[in-house]
Amino acid sequence: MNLSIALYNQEMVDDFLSALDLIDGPKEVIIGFKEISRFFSFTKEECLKECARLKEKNVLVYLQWDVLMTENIFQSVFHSLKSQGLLTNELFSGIRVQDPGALQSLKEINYEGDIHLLCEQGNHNLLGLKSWYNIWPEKIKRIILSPELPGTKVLEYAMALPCDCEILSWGPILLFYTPRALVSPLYGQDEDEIHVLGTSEESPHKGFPIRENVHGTFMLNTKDKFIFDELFLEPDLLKSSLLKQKNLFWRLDFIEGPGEVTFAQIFKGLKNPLESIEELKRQYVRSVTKGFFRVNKTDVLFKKLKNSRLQDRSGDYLGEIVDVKKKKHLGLLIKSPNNSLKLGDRLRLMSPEGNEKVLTVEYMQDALKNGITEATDGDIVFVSPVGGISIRSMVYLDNSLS
Amino acid sequence: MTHWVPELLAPAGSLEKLKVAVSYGADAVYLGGQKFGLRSAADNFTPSELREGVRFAHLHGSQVYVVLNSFLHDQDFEGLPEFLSLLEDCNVDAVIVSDRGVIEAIKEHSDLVIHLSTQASCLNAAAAKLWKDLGVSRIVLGREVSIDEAKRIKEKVDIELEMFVHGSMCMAYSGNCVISNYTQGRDSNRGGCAHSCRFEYSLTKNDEEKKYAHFMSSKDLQGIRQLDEFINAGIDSLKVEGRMKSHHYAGTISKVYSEALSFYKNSGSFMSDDLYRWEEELSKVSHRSYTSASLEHTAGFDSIFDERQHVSSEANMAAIILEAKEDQYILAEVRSPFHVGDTLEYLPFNGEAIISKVDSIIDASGESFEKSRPGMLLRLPAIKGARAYNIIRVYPGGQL
Repeated sequence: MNLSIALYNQEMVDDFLSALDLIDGPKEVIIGFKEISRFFSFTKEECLKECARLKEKNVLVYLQWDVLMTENIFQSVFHSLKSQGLLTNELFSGIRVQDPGALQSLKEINYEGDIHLLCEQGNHNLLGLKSWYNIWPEKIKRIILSPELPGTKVLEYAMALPCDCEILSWGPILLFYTPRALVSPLYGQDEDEIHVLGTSEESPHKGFPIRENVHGTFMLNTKDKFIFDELFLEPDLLKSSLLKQKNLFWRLDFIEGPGEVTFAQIFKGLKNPLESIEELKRQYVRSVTKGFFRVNKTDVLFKKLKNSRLQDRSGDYLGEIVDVKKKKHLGLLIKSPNNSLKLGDRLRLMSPEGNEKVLTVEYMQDALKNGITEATDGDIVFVSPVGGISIRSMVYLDNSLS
Repeated sequence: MTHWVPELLAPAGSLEKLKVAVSYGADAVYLGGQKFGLRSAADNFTPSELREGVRFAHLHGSQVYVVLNSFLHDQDFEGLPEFLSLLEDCNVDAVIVSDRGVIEAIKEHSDLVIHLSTQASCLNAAAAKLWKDLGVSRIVLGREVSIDEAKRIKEKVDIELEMFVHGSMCMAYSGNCVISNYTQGRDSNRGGCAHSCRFEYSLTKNDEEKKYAHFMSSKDLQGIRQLDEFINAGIDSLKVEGRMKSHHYAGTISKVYSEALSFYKNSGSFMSDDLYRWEEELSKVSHRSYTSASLEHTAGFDSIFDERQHVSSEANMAAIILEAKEDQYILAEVRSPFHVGDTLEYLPFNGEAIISKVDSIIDASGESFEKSRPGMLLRLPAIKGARAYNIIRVYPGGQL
């Protein structure tokens, strides 16, 4: 099983290194530092030191640059990364970026390391993912897929893309990212980092972890993603195929720390999943969810289409009823630039409720009750009333008899 | 001599709002079809409404851009090629897109001009260069980009830039918020945003200190005082948010900003007493407190709208004119009730508002009432210069 593991602080690096021999597949980690990474606690110097320790043990180390940056900061940071030699493949095996600007800039300097492209936001179609890959096929070695993808899509994309794919399999789900400092002003404190739990009466979910740091404010889901139970304990053809998919990496990403669980326990547990997965889940510090791994139906609740009876403005469409005065008149606004209304015309009226009526125009008046013989686009005319026809009814010229 | 000004791009949530926005001076409008956009709850346009909208806009010298800014799942592409054919057939001027896959589909199936949506969060020149190379001709920059930064981007990349000048704002980097997905089962990036950022939250720190705040809700953007900076930066288009908002909003915002830009076009400056009047007009539509957000400096805590309700507007939209017969009468559809004795304010497409006291309320059949009700068709006295789609405001109690 290919694992990719984010190490946010020195304690996690130490724990990881002590469990290294228990990893069967590639030994690969993600690391970052405060200036360019959202959640890593390392300074640049600390990051380089930990990188060297990891490389000594033949671990592949990938640098995470996932902070989004507007022009001025972006230029300054990119210049700094370049001038300090951080964008060569001597230090890191590769770099992980989300911002298309970062990808473009790396391309312009012909970056020599591997690029892992973070496509976790949006990116729910193969056409888009392939076209991201095709921007620089020689260097984009991995695409990090959206955590909202169901397992069927993860497999489909991993099979179709000519590079590695990666999916969050255990760890917090990021819901919201803003560069604005939203929390610290409420507490009047000047802290580098502030953590709170947010609960709204308007949401059924309680206790969203919210973190503010120098890069802005981040909200995490109340439950962390955990799909190993689904993968190992409820086997079927899909999961068996997913586990056999050679270019698929499963990310462990403990932004909030793994709690009491150690990497040794995790790696051992993944070797003997039937006995260990439930225990790992129980020991983990936070509640977990499969998220959308089984199915993603987030579009079913809000599909709203217009009343089909009010849609057809083609051909014989004439206008709309804008006034109904019982036993007195219907007010008709002519809206068609192509059709006009003349005395003697037959009209077909369709109400929003589905009532269809026919009316022959025997008289037409304006609002001062002056008789009219013809009305065109923009005119309002008053004709004889028809039962069952309400405001917003559509009006068509009825040529069925001609 | 006239001076260059950017395009004013207004929202059109429906065909009627399109006509209002265009009539009040919008140089361009953006709208959504029945699928592929991010505002599922807006009326949006049927194919025949789209055809009529484009015809009306082009007749008045305005452009029409259609939003295809959902982040599509594979199955959502069904019907897209046919919709693109319809857009080409209707002669829309551009499409606004967020998703990389949708851009590819558009390039494959049409020759439509592509604008990159703010949902793609394009924040810097390097990203702009990449999007340009991918076939995008205009970029709607992320709302986090300042005007000064936009100017630098423009200097580095030869591409049209569009920035938001007015309206509601996402607090998150656009396209980077999935709260609705996990809490409501609605995909915020496919039109299902539940506006969870507008909720009140109780915040707990260290298991004790509790605070209640709408801490994730942004104030509304207002950039009228930054118009000269936009112009100096060479920003090609100024966008007003709000396809879900009212006719009153579409008309008022279009009128104010188009008047301001026209003033600059003729005079080369914004040194005008009208600035105060424009700001006063902007306060008449329903809105949250205003902020310049990140237009000049990084948005701070003063850009947070820590309240539940919108700031109540001073004026309601009383009615919209459907027909104006010169020297005879006006027929107007009532939107908010008003009484005999109230004051009405007619907002012409050009020039200053006309004030009139309500002496009587008479419907289209000639019957008199003391109070109007929404949906009524009223016959009002003729007013010189009144036109269909003019907005009429009401000031309750006769006080203006």
